[in-house]
Amino acid sequence: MTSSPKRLSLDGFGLGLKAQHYDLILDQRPAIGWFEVHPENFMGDGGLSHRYLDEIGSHYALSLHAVGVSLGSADGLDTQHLNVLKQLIARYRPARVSEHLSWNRVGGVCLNDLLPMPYTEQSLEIVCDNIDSMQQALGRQILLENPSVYIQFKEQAYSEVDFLAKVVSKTGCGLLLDVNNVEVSSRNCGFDAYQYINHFPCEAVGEIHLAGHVEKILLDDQVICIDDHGSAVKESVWALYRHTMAKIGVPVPVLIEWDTNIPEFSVLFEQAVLACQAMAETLNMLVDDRVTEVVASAH
Amino acid sequence: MRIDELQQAFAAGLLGGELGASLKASFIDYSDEERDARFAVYRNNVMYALGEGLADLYPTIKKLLGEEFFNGLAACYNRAHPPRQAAMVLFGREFPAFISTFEHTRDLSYLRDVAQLDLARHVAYYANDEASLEPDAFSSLPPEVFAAKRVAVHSACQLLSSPYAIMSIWELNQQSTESEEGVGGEESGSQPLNVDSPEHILVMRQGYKIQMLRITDGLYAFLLALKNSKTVVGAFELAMAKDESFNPADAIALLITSGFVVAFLDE
Repeated sequence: MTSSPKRLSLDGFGLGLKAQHYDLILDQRPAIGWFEVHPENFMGDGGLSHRYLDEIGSHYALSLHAVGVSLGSADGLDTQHLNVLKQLIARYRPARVSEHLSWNRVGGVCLNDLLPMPYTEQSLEIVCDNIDSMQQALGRQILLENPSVYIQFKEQAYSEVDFLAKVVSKTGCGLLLDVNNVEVSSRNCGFDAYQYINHFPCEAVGEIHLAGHVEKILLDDQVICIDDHGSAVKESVWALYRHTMAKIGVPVPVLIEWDTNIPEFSVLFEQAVLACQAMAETLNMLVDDRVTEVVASAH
Repeated sequence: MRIDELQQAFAAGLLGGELGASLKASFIDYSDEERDARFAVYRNNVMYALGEGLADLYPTIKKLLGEEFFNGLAACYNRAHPPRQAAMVLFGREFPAFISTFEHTRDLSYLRDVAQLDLARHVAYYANDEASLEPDAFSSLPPEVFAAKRVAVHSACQLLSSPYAIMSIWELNQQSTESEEGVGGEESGSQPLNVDSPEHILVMRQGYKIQMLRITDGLYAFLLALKNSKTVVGAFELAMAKDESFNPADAIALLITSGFVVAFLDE
């Protein structure tokens, strides 16, 4: 008996949802699988952004990628913020909910960035307590994302990978592996990105992120990589992604993030197609005919 | 260093303070220069994002002051009033008040009121989606029953009153945004703007479109009274005392066309 090999479609591939693409997405219904948004941008009571998300969510799966829960905060979580997040989840029924291994809130002040923390016993306890609270409040598993890091702490009881593995085993959360962040942090902190992936608890990965970064001068002859999500995925990150997929061995949802210098939708879409093709090649799968058609029509 | 202390010190450094000795010691042994440059990546990210957020919220203020002045003002504001919550919709609410006390803007007394107008548009944009009462709901009530009603006001509807021509300033800046001219630019054929001319404004949302309407003293007093839970007849009385040209029929027409009312409230 013969069976045709399973083909990889774009269903598992997502794009960051940008307001400038709302109308095009609804008019043309591109053959992408899902869209991701930051829930912090949808915390108003009503208005046009909710209307669009309702409509886009009726055609596509959604993922809520939080940036403001502050899982690393020694102060604990903001329950009011969690309640609003819970309401958004009830309204939009996202396929996945994720947040970062970072903090942004202290002493009642919220700084909108993903701030670093040393990986110590105390921070492990804080992060695990906070993830427990978040998963309990939301009544579901979350995915935790590895951050981009620009400065390193002296006191490190764990490597980032070991820290993430500990968090997974203590809280039951999944992981969002941002391959671009691995590249960025490895360059900024001087570790081997491939070794990082080799030791990563891949069985817990529920989503992968790919994005562009930019190199800036830190001092005289020293470069720092900034995770600005402002360009196409770099060649080095595609290579690391292939390595990651070879290690994971099965299809995982993949998202292309592009948040600054936002291009036309077709440019984002092409990145998703490239991610799909690279995954198929790495996993020895054929791509779905629709993907082939999209690639053919783009040339 | 304990995590809570580290986070306090880190945040203080992001908001422009000196890096404390124990925070410095918590990083690996960079040179002072390298450590400061790396820390500055975070500080720049935070200040840039907050500055952009404020510019999105107060486009007219940015236009009036120019980019450089606005960025300086935004940095001072954001250090003095860092966000208290992660929901961006709630960010920047104290900016108009800040403008009226900040030493380099406090003499530009119309600026605070223009900022209030930008903020009102933002609030209207994100306001709850509520259905306003249809004309039938008004016409089907006997006049004496209607007169005794209090109303629930649509959450997008906001009232502003200024001794300055803030809506005219807003409109002029829309034109100058289009023609890339400054606010003071001489526009041929247009009347020179008299800034010292009071304006009352109703900001509302029709569907998803933000609308602004200049209203008379009387209509302003009427709508404000309704918003403050006065009955319709009570609001009529206040408006007539304020403005002898006030016409109740116009007021009712405005109530209906603007979508001001979402429900009649029982006693």
